[in-house]
Amino acid sequence: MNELEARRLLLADPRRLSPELKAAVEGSTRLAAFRDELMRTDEEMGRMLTANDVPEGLAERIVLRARYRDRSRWGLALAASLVAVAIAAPWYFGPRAVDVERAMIAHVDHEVAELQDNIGIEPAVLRASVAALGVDVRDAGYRIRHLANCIVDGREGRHFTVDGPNGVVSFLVLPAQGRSEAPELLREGSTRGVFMKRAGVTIGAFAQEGADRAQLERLMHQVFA
Amino acid sequence: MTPFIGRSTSHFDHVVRAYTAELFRFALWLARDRHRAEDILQEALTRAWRNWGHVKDEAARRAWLYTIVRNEFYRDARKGARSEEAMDDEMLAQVADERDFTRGLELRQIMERLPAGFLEPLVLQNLAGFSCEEVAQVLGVSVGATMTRMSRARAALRDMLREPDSRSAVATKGALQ
Repeated sequence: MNELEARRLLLADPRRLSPELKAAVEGSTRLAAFRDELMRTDEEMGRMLTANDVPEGLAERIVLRARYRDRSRWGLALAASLVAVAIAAPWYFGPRAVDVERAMIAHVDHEVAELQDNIGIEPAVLRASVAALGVDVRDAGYRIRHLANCIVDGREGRHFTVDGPNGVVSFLVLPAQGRSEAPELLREGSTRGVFMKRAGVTIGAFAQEGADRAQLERLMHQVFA
Repeated sequence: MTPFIGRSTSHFDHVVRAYTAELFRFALWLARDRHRAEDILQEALTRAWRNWGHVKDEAARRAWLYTIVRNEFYRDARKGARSEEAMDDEMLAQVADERDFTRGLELRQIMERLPAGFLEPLVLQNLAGFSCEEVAQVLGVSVGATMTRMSRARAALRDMLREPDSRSAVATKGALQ
């Protein structure tokens, strides 16, 4: 592969490299510098694109509109109010801390597609994305399969999956305070999860049945600095 | 491949909650107006709900949703002359990296000047993390054409970041393509 062709392919996608392109980049300092420059610009773009606030309650409004579109506007407004009250009530009156971790594991258990996804994400992209929540991620050497911004419990977190030593492991970083002490291993469906708190965020590590608490905690400490 | 889920309300609710944020941001970059982006997204996902069972492979669900949002944007754009507002100062101030704030603003301003043909693939790859194959699916063009567009878009962005004078020329050239 000549340099011109390698540059053209890097410009199309600097993150996903074919074996041939990878070899070309590793064999040329000019190509490596070119790719670094593209990656830096992409990281800036990624930060910028995810920096805009999402209108509060938008997902709930969309769900209501899709389901009840033919009903009257008054009916829709009433339903929206009821949903808003239903969402707000546990926030004000419920046992908030336990709910956060329960919501996190329920999200992961439900997101079957995210465990299947395997597009491959560069560690630098993951680091930049999670850094927006004030959390550092180490490159522990595990292949990153998937990364998404997910709304859990009304808050936008980062959900990513890696190929761990014993199978696919999901991590969820959510800007919410969980329980003050580390909870026992939580179970939801076939998913198992452990959690830890950082300033302003709760981090969960999840795997399918068979994973034990020690394995998940070890992975969590490997991945989060 | 994940199992076919069909038209289940709980699955729809779950997917909407999972992807609303990123789809809203995609719509916002297309429409450049928050209210219009919200309208587009609401309409797009209502259409998606009507055709929910058409997607047989759950792994393709996300790209399918992006396609519907994009189609809805162009349908809405054809409806009439809606004025496009530039993103306001408050939104500009949300550029996350304070260490390089000026460059962040510059990048945003340059991206706003890019023609849709260049902007769309860049946003799809950097916001959604899509591969060229997935971007091609959303745009409804071949993978080769997507790679060419992506390549030209990044080259144009690079030129514009280096040489401010080339900005209007690139935007005009891209708009004509």
